[in-house]
Amino acid sequence: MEKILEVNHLTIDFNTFAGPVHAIRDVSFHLNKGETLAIVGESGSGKSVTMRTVMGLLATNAKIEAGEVKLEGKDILKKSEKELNAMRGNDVAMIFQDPMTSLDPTMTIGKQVAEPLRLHTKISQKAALKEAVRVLELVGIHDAARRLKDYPHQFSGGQRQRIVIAIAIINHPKVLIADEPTTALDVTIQAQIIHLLQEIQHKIDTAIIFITHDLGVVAGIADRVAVMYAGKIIESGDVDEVFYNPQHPYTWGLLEAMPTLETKRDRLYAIPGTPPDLLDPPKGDAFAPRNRYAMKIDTEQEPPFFQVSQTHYAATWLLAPGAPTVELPPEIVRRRKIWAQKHPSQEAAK
Amino acid sequence: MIKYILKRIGYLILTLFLVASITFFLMKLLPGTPFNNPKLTHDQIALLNKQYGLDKPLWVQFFQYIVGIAHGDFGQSYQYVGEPVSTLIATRVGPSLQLGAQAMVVGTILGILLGAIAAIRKNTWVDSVATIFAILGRSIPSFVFAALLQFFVAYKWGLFPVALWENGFSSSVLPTIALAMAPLANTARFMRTEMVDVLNSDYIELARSKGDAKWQAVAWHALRNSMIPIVTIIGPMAVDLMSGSMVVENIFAIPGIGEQFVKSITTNDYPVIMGLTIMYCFMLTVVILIVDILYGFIDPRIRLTGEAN
Repeated sequence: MEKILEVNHLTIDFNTFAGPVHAIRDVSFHLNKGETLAIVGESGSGKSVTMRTVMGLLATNAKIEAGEVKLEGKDILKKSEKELNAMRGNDVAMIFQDPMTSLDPTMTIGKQVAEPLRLHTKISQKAALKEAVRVLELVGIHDAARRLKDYPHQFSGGQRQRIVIAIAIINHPKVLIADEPTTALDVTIQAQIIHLLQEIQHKIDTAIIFITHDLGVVAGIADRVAVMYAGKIIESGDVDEVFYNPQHPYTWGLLEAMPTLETKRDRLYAIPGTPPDLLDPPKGDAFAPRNRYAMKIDTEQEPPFFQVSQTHYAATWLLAPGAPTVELPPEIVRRRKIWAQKHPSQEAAK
Repeated sequence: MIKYILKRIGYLILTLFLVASITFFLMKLLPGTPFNNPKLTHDQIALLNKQYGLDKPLWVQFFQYIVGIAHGDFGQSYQYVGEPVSTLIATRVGPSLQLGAQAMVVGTILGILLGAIAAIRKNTWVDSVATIFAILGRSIPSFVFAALLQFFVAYKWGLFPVALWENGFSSSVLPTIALAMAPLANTARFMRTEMVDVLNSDYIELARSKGDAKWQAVAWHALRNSMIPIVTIIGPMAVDLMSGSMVVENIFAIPGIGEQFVKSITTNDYPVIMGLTIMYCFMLTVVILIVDILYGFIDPRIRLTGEAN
């Protein structure tokens, strides 16, 4: 498959009064043409910072220490501001988290939706507005022609997110970054928006990076999943591999904490402790202090990536040759069973 | 919209009536009399009181005064014998309005620019210079600026007339600058604060992610949104300007209503004081009305109901 986006060894520090915060620590991933990659992790794990780097929109106190971000083979970290302006909203577009605050309250939505077209193509205002109507209808704003002159406050939250999506897709970007696009919406609207994103991906043939902390959403939309913790990707693989054959104890914790129809316990599992302070990341595996399966080596040395399959990698010492076999949490045992049913041959090979 | 404006004009008249009543009674409470020349005899003072109707009971005086105002008659000046207050104001309001409008326009436009630049260059030397400038503009009274401008720009460098109202526009330049400093500083401070917020907002990030360059995001999205609170302070700034004009007009010897107001107070010229108070009040309420209408144009969220769709 053709890689459209490739992030290699990205390392970013934020300069603060207390010192540099190591927000992104050696992150590598790629995105294939037309696929959906979900990046999962709790708040502060570096999902959004990574995506802002891809957009070239990092805060001024962020410092890229190392790495490259290649869009169609060209490193965007080496691009000039002018080249970045030409890229944003054209090759790469972004959908933001909160539709209530991401539209300009004093500009008509017609103008806002048409703006990316006006910026990146030589098109008249009239033609751009016509296209805006088409895209607004595509994202499900009814009677769009009549509503072009309306302002954001005249739309509901769900409708506003549709408008934000229209803005993002009007130039048919090759990469669409959706930064928790459903977090601020209620559940029924969430489902609609996710369905809409899938439909649009099909229609305009774009690759989507879907940032979320909601694993339930991921299962329904993603082709591949990358799990982030404390500024690092700790496990990545096809969606089935991560969901049914997870390897990293943090991924186990996330899956345990997700209620399913099979959940019998009254109390939902929660991963104990809090994420580490990235001003001074712990030695070894950053998850070790919260990890009930942690071994001595976890507190001494950072685990490398171990390959589980062609597509599946996880950074945990549990995969090292000679590591002890641990007793898995019941939820993971259940999931591994489903995995075994789906892939009888692989399981036999182990 | 028209209904709304009519309603507001109704309130405006009510406000003016209340202000007229309050000033009328306050005048009566003032110690002293307009006829305080020691050469006047007792009989002469009684005669003058009779001539101006000051011998009648208070409520009769009040009634006559209000009826007069309703007919556009603000009485006659005590200090300029035989001169109706309305003509006195009419001949003097021009320079004051010109100065006030010029100072307002110059002050807000430069203030918006200064505040916007400070916000865009936040935490750089540009921001510090703008902040110091705004603090100085806000804390140094207009009469100090007036005197400094007169001394340096007019007297030392001879660029503009020192005082008086005889050289057309060039006479208005220095008083306008002196008056504009406060609104400029005020606007700049508000603009900077608001713009810093707006530049951190999600919709500016969205604008950047559309491909807007930084200046495009500022020009098309940030400026208009940052100006909303500026509209709010136009009213209070107009009050500042009016009181500032009384001092500045005196310093530059400009025949405006501010200068007249001060002169009338020192001579206990009641009808002129009351007429000018009502005049100031009228101008202020009109400014506030305009501001409220302006609001709707800048911020669609508070566009008056009934107008949408």
